[in-house]
Amino acid sequence: MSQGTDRQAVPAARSKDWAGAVGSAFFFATGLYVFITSFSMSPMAALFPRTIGAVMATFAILQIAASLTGRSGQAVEKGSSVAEQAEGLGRRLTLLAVMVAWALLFPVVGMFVTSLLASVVLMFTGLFGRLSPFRLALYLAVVFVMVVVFYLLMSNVLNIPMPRGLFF
Amino acid sequence: MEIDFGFVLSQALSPFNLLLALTGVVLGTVIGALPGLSATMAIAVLVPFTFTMDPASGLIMLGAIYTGAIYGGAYAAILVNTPGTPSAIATTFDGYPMARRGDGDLAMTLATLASVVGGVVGAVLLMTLSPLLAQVALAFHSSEYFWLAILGLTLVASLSSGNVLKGLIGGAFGFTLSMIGVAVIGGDTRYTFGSSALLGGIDIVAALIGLYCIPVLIDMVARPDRHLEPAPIGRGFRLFEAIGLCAANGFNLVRSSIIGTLVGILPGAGGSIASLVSYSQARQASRHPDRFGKGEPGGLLATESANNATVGGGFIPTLVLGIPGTPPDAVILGALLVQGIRTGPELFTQQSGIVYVFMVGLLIATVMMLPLGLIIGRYAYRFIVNTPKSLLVPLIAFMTVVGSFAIHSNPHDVVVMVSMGVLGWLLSLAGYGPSPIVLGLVLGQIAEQGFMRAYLIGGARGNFGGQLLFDRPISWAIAALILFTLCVPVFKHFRTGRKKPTEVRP
Repeated sequence: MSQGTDRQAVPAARSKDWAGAVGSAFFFATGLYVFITSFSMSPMAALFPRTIGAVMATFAILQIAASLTGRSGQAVEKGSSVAEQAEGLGRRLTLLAVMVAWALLFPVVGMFVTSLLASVVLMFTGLFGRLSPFRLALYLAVVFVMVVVFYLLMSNVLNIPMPRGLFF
Repeated sequence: MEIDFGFVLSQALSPFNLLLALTGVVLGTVIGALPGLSATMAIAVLVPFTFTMDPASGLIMLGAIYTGAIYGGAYAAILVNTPGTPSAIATTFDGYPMARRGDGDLAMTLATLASVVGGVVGAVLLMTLSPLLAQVALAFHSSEYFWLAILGLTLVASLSSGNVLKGLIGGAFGFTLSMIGVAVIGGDTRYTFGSSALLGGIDIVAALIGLYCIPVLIDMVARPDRHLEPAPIGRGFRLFEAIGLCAANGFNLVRSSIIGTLVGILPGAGGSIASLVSYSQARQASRHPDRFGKGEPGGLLATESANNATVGGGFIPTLVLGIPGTPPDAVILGALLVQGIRTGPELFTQQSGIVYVFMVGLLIATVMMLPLGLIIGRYAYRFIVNTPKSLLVPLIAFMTVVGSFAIHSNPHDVVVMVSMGVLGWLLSLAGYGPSPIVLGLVLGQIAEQGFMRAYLIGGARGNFGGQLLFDRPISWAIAALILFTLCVPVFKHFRTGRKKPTEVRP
């Protein structure tokens, strides 16, 4: 083919959205589950889940196709990307682990003690660089005061019964 | 009955009532700014104190707390990307990007000004057109609520996510989450997986905190950079700059406030849809729609004016019809009944003195929000900017846990919050934003109730299509809006596709 005929205009390359396809597969599975399980419900309770399940599964199939052909629109509320989330992954996972443990343990151990421990761990998780002993003591004191103030606000001012658990 | 405006003003402007309005606005703003602590909770806690007051004073304080709490929701939305209530969802779209780039001070001032304008428009319409506007609420039946819920979902789908399809899938997932627990019609237990904790369903506020706040926390601990860019020293409140922006967006502000009041009249659906409708309108009318979502002041002004206008709008069916539009309205309605005030059309004739004192008090509280909001907002922004991440992370995390627990004093809500946070983070990797999911969760039961009632009534009449759409002109209008909302992105996609620059292969 001559040089002249090689200079053809072609659409800009579209990148495939693999993460979007995986997410859509999750929604497809959920939609399918909602649709199938609706058949074991009474007719009144089943109609809406059946409709929504079918709609979600259908849209998810369309989105999987769109993701694999690299079509996307203008976003106002952007998601993140796997590459962005790889930065500081250890800290991210630590935070998640602390939040999960906090949510599961505070009714057993007690709100105050769990919150204090979790807050101290999160303080270190969010710390970049070294702290002088004075500043470290100051930060720990601030975390302690914060937990005490919010605990008292909830339990004594707003009268919310905080779980006392094994400790308090 | 003639209204004695001299008496109304002297009562509303008495030093004691002014002090109550001031206290109410400050308390409401602070409580509304904390994720998980809602206007409902603030009002419910303080209702017993108002029983010993004279009815007008008590109502002024409750109204001030309510309006302050709705405004306070903007703080968490702008500074931490966490809307305290569903009505502040759209505030995160532009408020948080503004704060991230160092314009947090301007964003806070704009939010204050917009909230005051919206609140004043809502209160004025409440005072002048209440009985007339209450007819709007009566004109909406079950099928209209169904279409309204679908409209809200379509709007957020087209606005927030990477594409409309992803937004609609997110919304459908939110609908699915709203089905967990006992079915609103039929009474079956659905999708609880045998867990008694799930019988009550997924709490909206717990899900909201988790979906928005946990991904923010995860990002905060991963990078050493500041959470928000600090504003250069000496810029003050940036009040004149904000007033200039408000003047340039004058029509946007007034339109959003009127939308907020009108949509706020609709019980249940009002607050969350009003700000989305006004945001969508502002974006469509803007000369720079591409700037929306990247820190466009017009978007922030639209949402904040609309959500504060819903306060006045929500009181219209509460006072005229005795139908509370939102949970705080329901608590205030309870307080009214305890005070011996009977709501209904006769309220405006037989007890007009008290009701007009309350309305003027609401207006005064809204105006008081301006100086108080500017001061509180400035210090809130400075606090978030200047607090080291290592202290900010435990503070926000603690507020999310305590806030979720405080909703029903139930540890299960904290588990829901964290689970939704983890799910929200994973879904954000796939390009699914939290807003359609949250709105689907908020509107799911409204949509299901509307749809099923239309199905039952239409089935009994042998005319389901007519009951749902064909015989209902308001439903036509809403369905047309839904079609328009869905078609605009498709039209734009084809138009930009045709204009798309092409690569030239050598």
